Amino acid sequence: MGETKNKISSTQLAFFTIQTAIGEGALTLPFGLHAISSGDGWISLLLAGITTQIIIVLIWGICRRYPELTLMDILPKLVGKLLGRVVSVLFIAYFTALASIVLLNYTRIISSWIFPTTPRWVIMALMMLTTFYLAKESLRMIVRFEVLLSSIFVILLGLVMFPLFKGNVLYLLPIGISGSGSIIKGIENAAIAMAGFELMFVIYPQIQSKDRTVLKTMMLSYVIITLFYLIIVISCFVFFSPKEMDIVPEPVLYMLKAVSFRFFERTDLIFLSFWVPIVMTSIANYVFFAATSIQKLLKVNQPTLVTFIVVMVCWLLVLMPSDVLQMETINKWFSKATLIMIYGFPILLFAVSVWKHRKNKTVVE
Amino acid sequence: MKIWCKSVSLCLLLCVLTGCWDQILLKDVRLILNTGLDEGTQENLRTTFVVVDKKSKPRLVAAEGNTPRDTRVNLAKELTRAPDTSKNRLVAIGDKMAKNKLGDILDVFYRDPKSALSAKIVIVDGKANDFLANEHKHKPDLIVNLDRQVISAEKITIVPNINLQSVLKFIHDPGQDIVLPYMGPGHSGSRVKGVALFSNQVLSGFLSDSESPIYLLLAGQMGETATFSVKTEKNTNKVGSLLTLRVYKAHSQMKLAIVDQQVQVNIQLTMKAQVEEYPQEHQFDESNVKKLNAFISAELTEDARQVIQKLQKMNCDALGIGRRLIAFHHDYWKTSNWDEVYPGIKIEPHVTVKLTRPGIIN
Repeated sequence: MGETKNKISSTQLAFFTIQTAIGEGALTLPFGLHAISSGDGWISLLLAGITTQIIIVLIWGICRRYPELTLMDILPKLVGKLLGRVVSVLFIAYFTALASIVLLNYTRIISSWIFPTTPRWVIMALMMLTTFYLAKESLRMIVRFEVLLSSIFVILLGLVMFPLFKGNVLYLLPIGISGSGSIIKGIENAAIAMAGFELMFVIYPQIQSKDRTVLKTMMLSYVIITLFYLIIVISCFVFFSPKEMDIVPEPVLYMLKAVSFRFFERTDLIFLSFWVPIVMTSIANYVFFAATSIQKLLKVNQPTLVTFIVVMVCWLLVLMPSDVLQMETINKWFSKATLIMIYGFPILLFAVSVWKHRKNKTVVE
Repeated sequence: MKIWCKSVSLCLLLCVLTGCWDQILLKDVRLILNTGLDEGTQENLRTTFVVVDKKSKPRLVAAEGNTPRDTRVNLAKELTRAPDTSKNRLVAIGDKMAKNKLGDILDVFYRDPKSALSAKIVIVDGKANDFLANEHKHKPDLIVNLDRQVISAEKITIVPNINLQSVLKFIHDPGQDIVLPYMGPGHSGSRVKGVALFSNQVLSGFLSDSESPIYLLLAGQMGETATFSVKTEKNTNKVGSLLTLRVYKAHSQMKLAIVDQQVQVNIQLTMKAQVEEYPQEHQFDESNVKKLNAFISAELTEDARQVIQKLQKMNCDALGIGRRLIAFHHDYWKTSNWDEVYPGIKIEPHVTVKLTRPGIIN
């Protein structure tokens, strides 16, 4: 296996990051933000964007100390062998669970919007089949495919912009009405939708550029992601009146439902068909992270088998809940876990690594 | 050989991907193109559906039930195929029915993922059933195009451009009331009669088709053009003394101030117009046009004042003044009861008309 062959450039990294971060969340984010910080949800989003940038710097700070290692190798060095293993397993569980959650929400939306009578397991199986097909490949293969797919974002943005011009800007005013407390609470919601930067932990050794370029690329990708979400959130907020927003869980689709052109009706269905591959890449990337991490941890090299196991686990996990309220509980519970995994742990690990290096330095001196 | 094997099996796999569970064939459904909602005689609701079959002409089928969905279920009992509302184009609500809260009546249209949210919605003089029956009697084939009539009225600024989806935002907006097209049965089919005004989701009154354009222009909702006929001499109505003008550009600006805890609204409407008809002998020169401009502006300002008085009397905040209060004077909005305050506030319209095109004769 040629190690140098499997490296990716910084441009590819940018597309990979965007595809990981933008997934199912884009459709429900405006609703989630509005439920907590009402018309000021977009401020929460911007603040979350800034928070994310800080965490990116922290993760990069850890990774660049170990440019040849992934998280599974870094952890034992930082926190000791046993604890390192435990945290590694936690991260693997997190990657798998995130893929499952995205699949769960995807299935819910697809089955309530397009295929109400199709059994849920079929929708999931089709999704996981394609996911498996992509995720078992090498990183380079996945990234190349995702760069190709990224052209879809232009179409999605174009469709979302349509209702933007029909909106009423007054719905955004007065700014700051929900109070700073709820704006800060809303950050949590937005931050979870932006999850994806933890990919650096897994693929950092495979990026073929200088460490500063990596940081720049990651930060720039996240600026783009934040802007993408911002456009979606604002166009929903000006299109729906504030109280209406509270009853529409998938506002992006709902506002496209009435946009019709001379030659086609029901733009929401067209939007959904373009959106499916975007979700697929999100799931596939997380399955890939889980599979590579497992292989690193167990020191095996069987991508197809491990990926298959991860895919099956995801599928089985999601088969169980079918009640919408149940899903909401799971989502809520999982969002807390996400916060700990991608915001809590990096801060902790960064502190540990700084402390260790300082100690090392004093020893050398 | 291997590639052949692969491609054949892939093609076979395609059969699995056809979405068998959720396919809906046109031959298996009866499309509903218009829906009329009335109060029922025995039960809560009576819905009239315009159903099209593959071969026969569109026909009217009425069904009663306790909820809109209920009536649809009862309709299914009378049809040979399942009714399908995904191509619904017009929802007509009888004026008695509209005395109920609009949000309660329309819920099913919003909850169903298949329903057509771009359908037009109108309030009807009398019963929606009679309205559709009248249209059906005069134009049995063209009843499927009833929504086109609303759209052409939108273009000449008689009714607002509104569909099922855009109503929802006003249903849930405390700062703006709903205004819907108002239609009625005419001598040869249906007729656009103006707009229906709502107060807190409940029908409260109407503006006639001669009053609604000035309201729509004040609200900044111009279609493509708007036409007004203005008397040029006081108190005469004889042939030839009226001037018809067509507005091709309008701009409305609302200024809102709170003076001594009193809301004061100032609406400045400027429009550019073309003379459509003015048979009197005159020259299209500067002094003449200036005189005409001033005269027409004064007339239209007076009309606007009357329309606004009507809106206030019916407690219909059709101009969205409440929404502006929420946005710019939030403290005032929170402490006042808008429903009680609105009829008494001072709204001052100013209309300025500029005749800029005489047509192709002077």
